[in-house]
Amino acid sequence: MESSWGLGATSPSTDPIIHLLHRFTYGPTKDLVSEVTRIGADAWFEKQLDHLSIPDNEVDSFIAKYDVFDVIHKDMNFLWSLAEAEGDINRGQIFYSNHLSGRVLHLYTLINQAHSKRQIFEMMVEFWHDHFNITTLGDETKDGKLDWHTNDWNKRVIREYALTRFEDLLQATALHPAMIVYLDGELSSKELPNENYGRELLELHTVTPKSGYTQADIIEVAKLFSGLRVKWPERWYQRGPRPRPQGRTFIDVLPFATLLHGERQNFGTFKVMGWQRTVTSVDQVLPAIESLLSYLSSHPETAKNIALKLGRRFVEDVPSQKFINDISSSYISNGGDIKATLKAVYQHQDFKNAIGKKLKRPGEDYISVARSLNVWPNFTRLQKWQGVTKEFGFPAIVLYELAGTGHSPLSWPFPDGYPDIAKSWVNASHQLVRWNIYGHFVKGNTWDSPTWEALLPTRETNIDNQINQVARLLLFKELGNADFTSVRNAVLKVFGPDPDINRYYADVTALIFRLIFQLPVWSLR
Amino acid sequence: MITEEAIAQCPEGREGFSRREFLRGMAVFGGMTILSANGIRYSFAASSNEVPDVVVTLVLRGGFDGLSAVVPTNENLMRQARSQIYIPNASLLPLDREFGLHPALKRLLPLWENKELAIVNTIGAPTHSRSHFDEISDVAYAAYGEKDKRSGWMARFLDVSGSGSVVQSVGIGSTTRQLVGGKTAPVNVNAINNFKLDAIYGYRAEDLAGFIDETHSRWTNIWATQAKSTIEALDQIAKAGALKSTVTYPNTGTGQRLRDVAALLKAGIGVRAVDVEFQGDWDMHANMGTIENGWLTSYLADLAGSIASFREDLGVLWSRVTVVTITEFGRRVSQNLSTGTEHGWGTSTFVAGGGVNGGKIHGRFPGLDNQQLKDGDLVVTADYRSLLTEILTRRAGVTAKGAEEIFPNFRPEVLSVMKHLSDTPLPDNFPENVKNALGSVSYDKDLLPTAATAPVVVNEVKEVKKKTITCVKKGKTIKVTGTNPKCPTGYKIKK
Repeated sequence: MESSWGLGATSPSTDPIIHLLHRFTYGPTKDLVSEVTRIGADAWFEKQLDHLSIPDNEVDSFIAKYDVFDVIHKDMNFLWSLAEAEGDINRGQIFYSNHLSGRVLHLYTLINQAHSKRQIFEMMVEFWHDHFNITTLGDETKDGKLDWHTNDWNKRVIREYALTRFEDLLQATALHPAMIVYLDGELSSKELPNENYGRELLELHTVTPKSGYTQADIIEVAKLFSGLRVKWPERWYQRGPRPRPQGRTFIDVLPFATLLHGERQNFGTFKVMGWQRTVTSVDQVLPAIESLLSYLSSHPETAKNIALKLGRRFVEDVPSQKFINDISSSYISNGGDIKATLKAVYQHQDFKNAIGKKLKRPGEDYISVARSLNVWPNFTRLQKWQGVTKEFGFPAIVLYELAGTGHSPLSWPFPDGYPDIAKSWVNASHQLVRWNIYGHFVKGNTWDSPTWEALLPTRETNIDNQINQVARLLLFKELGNADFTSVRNAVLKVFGPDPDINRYYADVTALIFRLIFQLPVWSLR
Repeated sequence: MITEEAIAQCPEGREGFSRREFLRGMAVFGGMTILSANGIRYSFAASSNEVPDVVVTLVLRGGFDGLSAVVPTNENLMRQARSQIYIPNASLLPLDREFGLHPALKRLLPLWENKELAIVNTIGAPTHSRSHFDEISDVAYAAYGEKDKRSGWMARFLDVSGSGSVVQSVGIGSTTRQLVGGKTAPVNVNAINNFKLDAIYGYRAEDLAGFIDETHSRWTNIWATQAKSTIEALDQIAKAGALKSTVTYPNTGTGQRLRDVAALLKAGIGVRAVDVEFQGDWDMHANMGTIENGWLTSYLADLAGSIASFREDLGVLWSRVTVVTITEFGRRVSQNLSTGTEHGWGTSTFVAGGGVNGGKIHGRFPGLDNQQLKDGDLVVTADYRSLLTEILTRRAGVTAKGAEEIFPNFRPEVLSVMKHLSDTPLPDNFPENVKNALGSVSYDKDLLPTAATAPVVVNEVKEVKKKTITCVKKGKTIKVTGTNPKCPTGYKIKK
C-alpha cells in the first residue's frame, strides 16, 4: 500500500529496529526495542527463530491461573469425556452450540500474540493457519464435527511445525482429522471420491493454478486420499453418534486420530502433474501420499506461492517479481526450510525498503493496542456456559469485539484464509469498529484498565509534555506539528484552555492515547 | 497477485467461451447511426429525462443450485440424476410447462403473478473452473481477459453513472468485491444501526469525527481516503437508521440486511447500488435436507421471504428498484453420495423489481441429457454480463458506451428481461426526497441494444440425436432408443 503525507502530518518511524518489530512482531514495545537495541537486530532475529529456547513464563503463568484453559490444546478423547460428564452424549453440545473449546483457543491465541516472548513464532502460527485454513468455530456444514479437532490441530500441526520444513507441515496438515473433516474427506468413497481436498491441496496449499494442473489431477488426488477418515472414539460407535465404518482393513495413521480404510481406498497407478506412483496394496498408500506431498512441496510453483505469501505478510501487498524469485530460490535451495526462508525475507532489500507499506489488519491493530498499553484480557467476570455445570471466568466480550472487526482469530469461513492486502480491509464498517475499539481500550472495558503511570516515564502536568511522551511511547517518534496541534486543541476543547492535568490525569491521558491511536500513522505496521 | 494471474493462466476451464475478435469501430456522433466499440449499431431518436433504478445485487455465495429452485418438470431425468434430492412434480409450484418453483419459495409467487419477478436460464460466467476463489472474484470483477482487474463491475458502474453521494454504493455483508476499486470508496456496513462513532470523556462524537477528518486529510492512501468517506457516511446512514419499518421480515441475517437496504433507499441519501450478501453458505456438498426442512429449504424460504418483505416495505419505491441474484456457479446436475451436489456451471437467476418483464422464464435452458451437459454441468447459455448490461442500460442510466467501460471486451446479448425506463413512468406519489437524491438520467432507448440484435451464442448447445440399438439375450431381441442407449443387464448389443 502506497502512502504519502503532507507537511505537519506524523510520518512512520524510519528506524530499522522499529520497522523490524512492526513486521515480525505484533507491535514494538518499549522493552522489546531496548532488547533489540542491546543485542542487535540480527542476533534478535536468530534468537526468535529458535523459539523453544525462549522462556515464556508470563504467558504460561497467566494461562495456568484460569480454569477455562483446562480445555486448551486437548484432543478429541479428552474433550469427549468432558462432554460425556456433562450428560451430553450425542454431539457434545457444550462444544457444538457454544464452541467453548474453539473460543478458548481464540483467547489463547490472542494472549500469546499480545504477550508471548516468541513473537516471530506467533506470527508464523497465524500465517500457517491462514495458509492451511480450517474454520475453527465449525461451520454448519460440518455439523459441529470440526470442533473436536481444532485445538489438536493448533497444537500438533500448526504450532508443532510452524518453524520446521514446509514438507513436514504439509504432511501433517494432510493427515490430520481437522483437514479431513474440513475438506470433506469423511464424505469420500471409493467410487465417488470427494474433490474438495484435492482441489485445495493444489490450488491453495501448494502449486496454485499457475502450475497448469487439470481437473484430472484433482480427481487423481481425490482417489489417492479416498481411504483416509477420522478415527472417532470407540464409544461413539457404541453409543451411536457416528456409525461404525464397514470393512475389515483399517490402518492407524499415527500420530493422529486418523485411519486408512482399505475398503474405501482406490488402487492403481496415480498420476498428478509430473508425479506418478502405482499403489497395489493398503500398505503402499501412505508412502504414496508422502511421495506426492514431497513432490508438491519441492515444486517451483509451490516455492513461488510461499514466497508471494511471505512477501505479502512481511513486505508489501504486491511483492516484486525479483523478491518472489529470490525468496523462492532460497526456499528451494534450503529444501523448504521455513526458518532459512524467513531469514531470506528479513535480509532482502525489498524488506528494508518497505517501511510504512503495510496496513494493519484489524486483528493486528487490536493486538498492537493491547501491547502498547501492556494490558491483559479481563477475567474477573464469570461466564456461565449453557449446558456446562461449571462457571468460568471468561472475557467473551473480547471475542465479540474482534468479531465486529471481521477478523476473529482462526475464523475465516473459506479455505483460502484471511486476505492479506490492504484493499480487503479498507471499508467504512471495519474502520468505524476499529476507531471505537480504541475507546474501549483506553477506558479498560474489555481488557484491564491501562496503568498510565507505569507506561509513561514521568508524571507530567504540562499538556505539551504529556502529548509528546505518549507519542514517543506509541510511535517511537514525535508528532508532526499539525497533528500535534490537532491533538492539543482536542484536549483543550474538553478540559479548557488551561487544563488541570493533575486533577484529571487519567481522563486527559486516556484522551491523548485515544487521539494518537486515531492518527493515520497508527494504522500502518 | 495470485487470483489475477490465475485468471489468465488457469488451465482448467478457460475454454468456456471462444475468444472473439472485437470490432473496433469509430463512433460517429451527430449522424444517424453509431457503430460502437463492440460492433452494435444504434440509431438516434428522442431522449427523455428519467429517474434511474437503484440496483441491488443479492449475492448467493457458495454456488447456487438453480435446479433445486427452478426445477425442471422432467421428473424422470431429475430422478435419475438426483435420486435422493429431486423434488417431485407434485410438490412444485407451477411456473410454466417446463419448470416449477421449489415449495419453499412460495413467497415469491405473488411477485411472479404480478409480473414483478423474472427468472433467467441458464446464466453463468464465461469461465468454467469450478473454483470458488477464482469464480467469486472473477464474477465480481467481470473483466475477463483484462490484465488490470482492479475494480468490481459495480464500482465501474458508479464511476460511469454515479449520484456523487458518498453513500452512492453500499455493501452489506462480509465480502463486497463488486464494489471495490472505484473512484469513490463504497460504504460497507453490517447493520446500519451499529454505524456510529462513540464519544469519549466529554469529547463528543462529532468533535472526534472532525478530528479524524482533519488528521486524515494530511495523508494520501486508501485508508485516509476511506476515513473521509466514512465520516461523511456516518451522517447519511444515521438518517436511514432513524427510519422504522412496520413490515415483518424473516428473522434472519438476510432479512435484517434487506430491511436496512429499504431504510437506506427510503432515506433519500443518493444510494444507487447496493451489494448485499445473503447470510449463509450455499455450498451444499452434503446433507442438503428434505423438501420440508433442512439446509436448502430454510435458505430458500429465507431468500423468498426476504425479497417479498423487501418489496412490501418499499411500496412505491419498488418502481425504481431492480434486485438480481448473483452466484459464482451452479451445481453439478447429478447428486453425490452425500445428498449434496458438487460445483457446476450454469444456474437460474432471479430478477425482481418495478421494471422487470416478469412472470416469465427468459433465456434458453440447455437440457439435462448427458450429451447436452458439459462435464456433467448445465451449460451456460447466457453470460451474466448480458443480464447486468441490460439492467444497467435499460434501468440505471448507463449508455451503451458506458456499458463497454463497465464490461470491457464484451458484446452483450439482448435478453429482454428488463423494460425500458421510458416505458415505466414514475408513479405520481413517488417521494420527492428520494427522487431528488436519485437524480435523473438522459434516456434514449433507441441508443441501446435492441432485440433485433442477433443473439450471441455463447456456447453451442449440442443437438441431441437419438439412436437405436439392438440388444439380444438367449434368442430374445429388443430395441433400445435414446441419446446414449445401453442394453439392459444380461443383454448384449448386436452389431
